[in-house]
Amino acid sequence: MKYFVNEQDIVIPGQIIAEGENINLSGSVYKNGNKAIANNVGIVQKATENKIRVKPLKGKYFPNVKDIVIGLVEETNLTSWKVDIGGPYPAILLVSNATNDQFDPINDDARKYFDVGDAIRAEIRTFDRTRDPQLSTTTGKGLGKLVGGRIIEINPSLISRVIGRNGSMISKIKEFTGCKIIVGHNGRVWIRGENVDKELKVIEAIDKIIQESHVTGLTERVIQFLKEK
Amino acid sequence: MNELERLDGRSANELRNLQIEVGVLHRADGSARVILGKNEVIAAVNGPRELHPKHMALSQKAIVQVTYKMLPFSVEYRKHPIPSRREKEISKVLSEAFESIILTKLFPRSTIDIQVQMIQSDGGSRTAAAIATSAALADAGIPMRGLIGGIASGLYQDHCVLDLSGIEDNEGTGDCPILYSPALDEVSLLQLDGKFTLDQFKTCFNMSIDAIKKIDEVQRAALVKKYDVIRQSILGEEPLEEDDEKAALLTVNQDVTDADVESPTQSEEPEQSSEDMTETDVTVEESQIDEVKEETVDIPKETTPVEEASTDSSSESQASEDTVVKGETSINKESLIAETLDKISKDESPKPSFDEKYNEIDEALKEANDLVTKINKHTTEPEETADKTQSSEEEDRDQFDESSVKSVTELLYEKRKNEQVKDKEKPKSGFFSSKMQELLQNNKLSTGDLNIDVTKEESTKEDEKKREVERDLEYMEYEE
Repeated sequence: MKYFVNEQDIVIPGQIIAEGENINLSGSVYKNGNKAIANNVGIVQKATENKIRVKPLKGKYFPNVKDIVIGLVEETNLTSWKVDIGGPYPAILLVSNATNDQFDPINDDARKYFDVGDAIRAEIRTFDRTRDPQLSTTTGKGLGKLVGGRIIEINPSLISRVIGRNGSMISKIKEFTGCKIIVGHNGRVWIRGENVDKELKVIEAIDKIIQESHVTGLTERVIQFLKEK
Repeated sequence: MNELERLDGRSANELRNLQIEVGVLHRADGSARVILGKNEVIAAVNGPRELHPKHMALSQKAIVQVTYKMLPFSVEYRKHPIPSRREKEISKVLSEAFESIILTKLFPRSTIDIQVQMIQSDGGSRTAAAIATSAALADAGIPMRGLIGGIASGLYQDHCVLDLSGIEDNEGTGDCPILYSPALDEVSLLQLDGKFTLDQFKTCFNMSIDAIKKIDEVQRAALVKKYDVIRQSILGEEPLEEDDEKAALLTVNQDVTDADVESPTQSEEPEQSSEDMTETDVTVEESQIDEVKEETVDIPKETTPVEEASTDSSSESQASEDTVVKGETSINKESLIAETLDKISKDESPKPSFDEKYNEIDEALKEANDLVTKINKHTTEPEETADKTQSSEEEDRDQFDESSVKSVTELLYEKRKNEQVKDKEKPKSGFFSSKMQELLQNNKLSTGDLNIDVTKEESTKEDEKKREVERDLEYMEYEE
């Protein structure tokens, strides 16, 4: 196998990354014949000898089953909610997936659980290319309504950078600011702190991470930044 | 046949000034501004997003909606804001052209919306719009098979000319805009207006393809620049590993360099040589195009005197450099290495015009390769090495024998290859993927089908593991 780029290089759609048999691809890269070609603006990460991974630098969220997402309730119906999770498809949350209580649509009001404008943390239960994603808030710990705080939207391909390896980055931010932070797979970040200043500090730190995500030595710079603040 | 005289003094195959900037709008997912001569256009991309009305949605793929709009002040007269025939036509042809390179099958039932606003129009506006759209799509992170560039060519005073301006377009007898993807070698749009002979068309087509290859480079540079600027601004503050090596080299040979090398003259020389390099580079490209031109059309060479002059000046400067070098033949090899490293680091420093920057980085890399070979050979003749390092780019090119010299990256590849041979024989991951690969190898599947499923299947297991780890992590966060 022959490589045409180096690790951590920025590639452009149509750029040939490598040529050879049995290349294992993941991320924003496709195969044409025996060539591996980038299909997005991204950074090359070569995990092993035969494996190429291209991490896109930008892009919209695409739902996956078992993703934990932060959604905004857009609509309430008698027994379901329509939730915006940020991708190309709106998500549906049925009452049966939202609560274990008995629910009678004639007597009970779905709005006592979630109302329009609420932020919820939910898991994607089912999704395929033919149907819109269905959410669930009963299948895991810590799912449900998010009370207070603020939500910012970032690029979903960069949430691994915000969390850091084994949560190193996010734990540092929490340590320095004392805020509660939840990161959803769809690129939404929920932040709640003691006061607005602390929350703004978190937002600034996350902005810095996003801006400089493609440059090495990120964690140290962010720690430096947090210390200065 | 009359001699060609263009209104703005360009030669037949010369492009107008082209500038591309990406990420100019905050609300859009991706955006780009393109200036091509007097054309100015902004493209904004949103999506993939939910499609309304829903009956337009396709169950297998996303649709691409380009809205091309000319602002009322974009042309001489006031353009009425309602969409004209021309705007509708360009919207349609651009939608179809870009649908062919976007991987629409990844986002079924959704739409990718592209708004193209023509701020100022002066001939060839649809190709300028296409360049902007392509850059904006890449900036928005929409998966696509490659970038598209576009340029119009046509007949003006019975000559084949590239990149018609507004007046040339109106007075000319033919117009042929082409959208082409150099990475894929595919033409995605070809329109033709007027009467062309077959030879004329071939000339126009070849000229356009050559020009689009140049446009593609500008596009790539613009896209990389957005991230490279940040990278360089950060790494400029912190010393690189390479810089450390250089510093170490310098400290070892400090006595020699301080005594023998006059710093002011040395610092001036690399700048000169780099300028020469860029000049010669450009002229070489032009002369290549001239050759093509000679074969097809009888047009007087305009660029040759300029070229000769530039080569003359470069040779003069080179001669002066040589004399300087001969005066200091006692310079150590190590000190020379340090100098050249200095030169390279200077070349890599951020500069406003990204075209120049790219040329310079290329040349710096070449020099680095040269240097590596020299170190490997342990040459015993100081004079020769001095000449080599100080000589201009043209000489370097003649002496630089690629077959004998292996660059650092190539060596790396070979090493990898050798290691790879050992564990080459591994079973394939499944029936489905092997079947798909067979089909792909036999070209039974079109490139549009692009074995996305194959890659997914191959990596699902590891992805699942990763996903589980991430999820656990998040639960932990919540519990905290």
